[in-house]
Amino acid sequence: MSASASYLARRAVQKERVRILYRRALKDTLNWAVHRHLFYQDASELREKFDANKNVEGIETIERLIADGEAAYNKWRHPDPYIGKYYRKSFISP
Amino acid sequence: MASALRAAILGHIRVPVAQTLTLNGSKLSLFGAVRSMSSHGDDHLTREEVIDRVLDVVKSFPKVDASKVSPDVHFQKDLGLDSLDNVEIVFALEEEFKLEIPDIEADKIDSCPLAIEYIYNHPMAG
Repeated sequence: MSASASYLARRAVQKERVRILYRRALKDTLNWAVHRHLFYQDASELREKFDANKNVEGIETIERLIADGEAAYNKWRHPDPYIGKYYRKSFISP
Repeated sequence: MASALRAAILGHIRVPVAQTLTLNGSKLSLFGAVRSMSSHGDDHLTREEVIDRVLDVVKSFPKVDASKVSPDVHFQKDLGLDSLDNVEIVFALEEEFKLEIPDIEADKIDSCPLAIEYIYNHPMAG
């Protein structure tokens, strides 16, 4: 397959979507984890899910996987995300 | 005598200028603000402190060889990390400095120099 400019551009956009998705899912994992050790476990599993698809080829397959991932993220997003500084839990309601 | 002393002092004061970084050839202006020499600059982190803490976070990352870490390193090119590791490091930096970085800005931080510069210039870094 010749690496045309549009193909490379599409792949670059896909890579960015993956990075942003991973970042948002990782942050959401922290929202869900009541205890810190749970966060590490969940974060580890999240990373494994992404790594499992690391070498997938085929731009349309990749597109579908990203769409599935974004849908899963939107489905499982924490309904009451912790907005603010992660280092300190605020006891004042938002 | 006084003017010579004044000249000597001025020669040692670093005058802050607007910080712009070149990212892949395009100018990326982080905040675009000139850091003013305000009298309450004490509550902001010193550059040295930012550098030390950024390096600590990077060195603590499990996949990183700490001996290779310096303030100049690029996470992927020099430390052999991948893009998801990069995401994790930026997340760890946010926790360390108690910052919320917008996704689009965070995605651009892929090296120690950029991380240091961004955090040092962030008014909320703590």
